Amino acid sequence: MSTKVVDIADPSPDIDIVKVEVRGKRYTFRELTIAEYDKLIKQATREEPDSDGDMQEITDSSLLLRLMILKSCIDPKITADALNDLGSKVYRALSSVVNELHYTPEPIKQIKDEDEAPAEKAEETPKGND
Amino acid sequence: MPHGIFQRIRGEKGKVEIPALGALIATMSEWSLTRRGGEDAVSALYDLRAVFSYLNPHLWGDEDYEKEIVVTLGRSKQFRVQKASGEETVLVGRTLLMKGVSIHEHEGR
Repeated sequence: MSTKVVDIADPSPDIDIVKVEVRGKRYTFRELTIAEYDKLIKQATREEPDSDGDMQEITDSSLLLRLMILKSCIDPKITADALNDLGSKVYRALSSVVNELHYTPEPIKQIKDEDEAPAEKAEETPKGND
Repeated sequence: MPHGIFQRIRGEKGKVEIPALGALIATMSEWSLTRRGGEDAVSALYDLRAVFSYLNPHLWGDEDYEKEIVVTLGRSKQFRVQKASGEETVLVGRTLLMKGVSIHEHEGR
């Protein structure tokens, strides 16, 4: 089974949207805001006693991924029950889309001084070094 | 479960889960079910009071997910507590009051 990106919408300055087709069905995902992501982290985090009986917070990564798929997939809207009914390979494909969408950083364009202020660069050219 | 068997019962163990996510979101340290009295259908409902020993408030408050409340009576008898529509639920800290619930026998998992 393959997952193919069929279209990428015009990039919003803030939120990325990606459309994919998995096993013949199209899905549209949107990038979650960091506030939404933080909320899902809290939802997926529970308290458990450690070996000394002290409570510690544990984030359930499987639950977090499910919550992210449910929140991120905007078309069709998937319910938690519907997610359970997906085939394992379809679920893995949707998981990879969500992981790619949220854990791959945006490309960073490094801005060098000469790109930003070429005129100043000209003034800073060392003189008398030859 | 037939209504009217008891006026009030109480126990210690109980839990709240979101079955569709396989997530345990609360455990109880004590609970009680009090029957409202009367013979009509509404009066046959109970009020659930519970104190949570653990609560994930972030999933509890998310209306997108259906919760399942189960209380354990004695060693292993379990009842599913289902809220009637339009009834009040108040959560203060880790103390819950859920008015107008019906109770049903539950297969333990």
